[in-house]
Amino acid sequence: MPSSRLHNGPLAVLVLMASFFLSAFASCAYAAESYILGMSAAFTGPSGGLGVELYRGSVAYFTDLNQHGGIHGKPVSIITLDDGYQPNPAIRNTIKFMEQEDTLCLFNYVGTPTVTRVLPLLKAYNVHQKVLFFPFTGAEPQRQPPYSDYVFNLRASYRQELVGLVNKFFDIGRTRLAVFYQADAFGRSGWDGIRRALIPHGAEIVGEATYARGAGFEDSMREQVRILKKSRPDAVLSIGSYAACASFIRDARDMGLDVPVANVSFVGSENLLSLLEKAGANNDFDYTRNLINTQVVPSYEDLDLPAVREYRALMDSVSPSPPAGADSSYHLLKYSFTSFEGYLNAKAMACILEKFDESPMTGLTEAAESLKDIDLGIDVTVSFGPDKHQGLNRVYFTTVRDGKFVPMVEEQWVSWRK
Amino acid sequence: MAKVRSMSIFKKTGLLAFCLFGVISTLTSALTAYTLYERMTEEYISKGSAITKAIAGASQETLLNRDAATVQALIDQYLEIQGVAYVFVVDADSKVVSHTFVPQMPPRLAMIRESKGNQWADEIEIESYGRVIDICEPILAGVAGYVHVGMDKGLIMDYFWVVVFKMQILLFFIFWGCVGTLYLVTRRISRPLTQLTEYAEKLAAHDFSARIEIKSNDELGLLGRTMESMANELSTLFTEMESEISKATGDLREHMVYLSAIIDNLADGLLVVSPMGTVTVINPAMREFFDLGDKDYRGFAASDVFPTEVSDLTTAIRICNSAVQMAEIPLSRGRTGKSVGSSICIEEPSKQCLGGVLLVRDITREKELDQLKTDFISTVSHELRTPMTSVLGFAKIIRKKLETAVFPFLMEKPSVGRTVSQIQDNMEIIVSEAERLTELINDVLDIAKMEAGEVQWRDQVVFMTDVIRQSFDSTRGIWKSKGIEVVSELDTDLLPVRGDRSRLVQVMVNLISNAVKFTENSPIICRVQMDGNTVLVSVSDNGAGIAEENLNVIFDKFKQAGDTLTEKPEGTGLGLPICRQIVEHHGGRIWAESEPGKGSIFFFSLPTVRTMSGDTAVVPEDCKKIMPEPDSAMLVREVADNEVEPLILVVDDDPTLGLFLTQVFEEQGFRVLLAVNGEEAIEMARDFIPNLITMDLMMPGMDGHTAIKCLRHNPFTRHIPILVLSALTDGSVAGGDIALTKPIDDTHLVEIARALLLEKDVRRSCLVLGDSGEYEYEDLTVICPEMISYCPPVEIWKYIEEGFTGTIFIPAEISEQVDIDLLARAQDIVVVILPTFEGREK
Repeated sequence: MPSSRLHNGPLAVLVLMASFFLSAFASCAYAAESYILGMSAAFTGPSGGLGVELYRGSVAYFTDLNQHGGIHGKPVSIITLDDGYQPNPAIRNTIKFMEQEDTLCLFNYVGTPTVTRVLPLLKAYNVHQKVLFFPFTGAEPQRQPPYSDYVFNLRASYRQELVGLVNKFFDIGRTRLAVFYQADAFGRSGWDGIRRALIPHGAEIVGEATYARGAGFEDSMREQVRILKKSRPDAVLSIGSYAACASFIRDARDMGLDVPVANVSFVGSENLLSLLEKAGANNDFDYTRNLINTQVVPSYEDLDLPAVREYRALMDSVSPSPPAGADSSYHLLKYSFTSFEGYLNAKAMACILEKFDESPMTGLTEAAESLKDIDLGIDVTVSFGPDKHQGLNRVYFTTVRDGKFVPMVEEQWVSWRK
Repeated sequence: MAKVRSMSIFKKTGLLAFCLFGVISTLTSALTAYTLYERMTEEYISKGSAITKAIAGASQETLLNRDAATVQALIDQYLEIQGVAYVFVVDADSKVVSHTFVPQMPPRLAMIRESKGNQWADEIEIESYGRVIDICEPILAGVAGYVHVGMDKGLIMDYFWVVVFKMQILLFFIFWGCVGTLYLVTRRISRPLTQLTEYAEKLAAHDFSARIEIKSNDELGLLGRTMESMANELSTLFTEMESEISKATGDLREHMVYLSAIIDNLADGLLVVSPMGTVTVINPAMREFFDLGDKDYRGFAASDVFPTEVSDLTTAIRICNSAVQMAEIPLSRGRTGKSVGSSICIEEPSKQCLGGVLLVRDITREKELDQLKTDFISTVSHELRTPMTSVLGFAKIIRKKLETAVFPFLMEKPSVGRTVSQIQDNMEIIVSEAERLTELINDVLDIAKMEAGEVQWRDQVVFMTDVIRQSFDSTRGIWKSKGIEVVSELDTDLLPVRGDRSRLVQVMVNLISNAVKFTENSPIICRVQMDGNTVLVSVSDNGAGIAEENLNVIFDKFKQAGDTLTEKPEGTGLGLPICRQIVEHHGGRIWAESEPGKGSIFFFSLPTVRTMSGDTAVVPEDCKKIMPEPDSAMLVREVADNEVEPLILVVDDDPTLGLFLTQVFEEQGFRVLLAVNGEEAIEMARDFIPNLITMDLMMPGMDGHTAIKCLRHNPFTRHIPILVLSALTDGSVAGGDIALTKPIDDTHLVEIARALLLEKDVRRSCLVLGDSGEYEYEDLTVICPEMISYCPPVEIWKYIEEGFTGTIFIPAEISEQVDIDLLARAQDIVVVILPTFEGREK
């Protein structure tokens, strides 16, 4: 994709919004003419696909929302800054957002290491009342005091994902669990989640191996495979980015480690799949077998859900372009769990903004906390409260079938029973 | 060559600089790098501990919340700090809750156990990290857990090596810069040096025409100019020197020719040998002596060319450690040569031996003359003296018989009275002339033997008082008969002299006789006094005196003052020459002073033995130093001086006992010397030759045993009987002749002493009839070199029967008592009739 188009996308949105709400400019000095959300995420690098897809899902919804009048006539837009999944750029970006008057809040951050480092800033800039909405991470810090006040989560936590996974594996008798994880806060939170999930079963992690954040698909994970193989695991739980996880899966299969490999939602299932398929094509081997990915949103293939239908329609009609500065070599996905999550995040955000717009003086946090039983169209409702800053709790298990991640069926579990 | 030398200066300097630089650069970079290393290590540790403290401080609550992810986020930040290799945190249960290892935590680290509540740093080796300083900090005093930070030591080492490398690079460039500078500087110095060297080499090759081209004004230029002017000086000097040398060479050659002509024309044979014994110079006379012809013998060993006698001499002289060697050697054709050999030594420039030189003179003729003289003396001795003795002896007998048996009858007849009186006078004349002739013969023999060096001197310590006394006894007859009184004036502090006592008596007798002979008035005064280190003896008379011009000639042979032809000769005229011979032999001087008409004084002086203090002549000396004097015949010394009392040396350290023994012996008429220890005893025994020694054994200083050993060892004293007086019972083993144990019975002691004194070894070469005490024939030792024995006339045949061979002397007085005819016919017996003692004039 040519770079001009990358720049044109958000500009076009802004121009559109400007013409639309010009008349309302002077109506209220306090109220903004538009709602601008700051998004710092990885748009480049090994996890670049996550940021891009998350953005695209949200933009698809906001574009449609703005076309239908926005929030009481105020359009909603997202300003993006690339942090490349690295903490320090994320901090710099956040400071920028904090100091820009027109940025209402932070939205759609990607990654545990970035988010966990940004959290103190939220506390520091408390006077601005700019909270973080729906970061794309299941890590605990933003769900625990003292930072839970400044963050609202939509998705279930990694702990929840991992507790689900661990329980499932114990159900089918796979009790020797090994962990492959990223050597940072994200990996650690996953590792911690598994450890905690194992405590009720009276078990411990049998083997663990790490990789350095930023590892790509082309990097070898053979050493990690060798380490884990020594512990003779029944299953491997993988907490990492899609590129590293894909690399690990490829090397594990190549080295004969054939046990199920589970990935958490952060992995970006479609990105993982596309890498494995590419490698499978090269090596003439099916690397997609015995995979299980947990998701915190329903499968976008589940067309029974109204949100899925809506999402698909908007993705088709709007076909959001990636944000400015995104990796030009990235291949956009038609649908994905990530963009679906971005879509759901945008939808929930729109509800909060609606509430906020009604009485801006009460503050965004209060507006969000007053939200009860919102139906996003995914069978479960979303509620927030002063002590409840997480909207969803369900974990979905998916596996690859016919080149797609589809929900796990019971037969699959049974076939893995040991 | 000069080039090489200049290069070598550069090379040497360069090498030195290189080494120095190497050392400096190595040390500098090592020091720098080491300092850096130390510094960085400290920095790392402090940095690490700061990080651990930071983490520990920040993670307390999180850790208590068991929030591993937040801890991880925290520690991840620090991983970005340079030098941090890893960070990990363990909880209170020592479980690792977060770490930064990829792909896994090294097992080595998992085993680290934290010490409760303390921070510590430890250096450990971890695979894939290398050396790491692990710093551990407790979180909340260990209650929450511990944080570990690993600081990468490898990084320090990298810095370390980078610094070393950079330093080396820098120093490398500096080094080559210095080498370049050094090279330029060295070249600037060495080029003129090379020129100077070349110039000096030319000078060494005597090429003074060369010029030097150093124009600079520095030291080298100055040196160059100095060398040039030196070359000019040298050139002038060389020219002068060459002419000097050629002149000197000419002179030398001339001198050599002169010297070699002298050597060649020497009447004596000359032989020079090298220290190795080879012939170096030989002159024509030498060749003639040994009939060597014209062959060149230089380089030949002397023993190959010359007979043994000569080669022995050359061996003795060529090594420079012997005195002048003299010997008679046989020459060719029956000739005899006298050779004198001496070493050639030089002291300058260093002491060195150049061999020896031997001079040979043909003394065949002299030998013949000498033999003639010897034969003459022998003839006089044997053919003249013997009949003279008989003549005198019989003349006296005749006179005696005439006076006793004939004249009493004739005196009654007046007719023959006159004849008798004439006969009496004639007999007197015959006897006195015969006596004079005998005396003359004796004197001539004496002086001849003295001059020929054939007299044997019996050197001993002599007190001049004894000599004076003895000479008075001898001459009393003469001066008593002439009615002249002879007076002696003796100093009290006289020291003994070393000499032949009988010869000294002879001198005194001669002088006194002369004085009596030439004076009519009493008294004749004999004075003995000390004069410095000499004893001065003078005999003065009131006679006619001697004319001034005669004072010097009276000591010559056959010279008497006055005209011997017109005046009646008295004496032989040999007395004074003999005195001179004797006195000069003793190292003394004899002379006369006179005032004509008033009298004359004859002096002679003799050196004393040595300076003595008081009565004890004590200069301690080790007995080993007492060596025999080369010319003394020890047997001669054994002759007892029977005319004086035996001398006894008492050796005892106890003064009371010494005094007792002295009294005991003096009562018996012995002379006594007292010594208080061994050294003194030896000293006195050597100097006084006592007749007997009594020896105590236990003494301070040298004890009796040692003293006896020394005495027995010394040829002069070994014959002296030693009487050991000892409180010990084993006195006999000390080496004495007899031993007495204290306390001593004086009667017994005297008996023993007398027995020892009389115990004589009878040597039967010369036998004198008569009692030993009765006669004094010391002159017989000229004929009898060995001991003279005495025997009573009745026992003579017993001696003969026992196998006595030799000479029997019979005094004229008792010649009637033996059958001289029968004796003369005995085997190997020579009979000599001696003139009577009283009649002899000394």
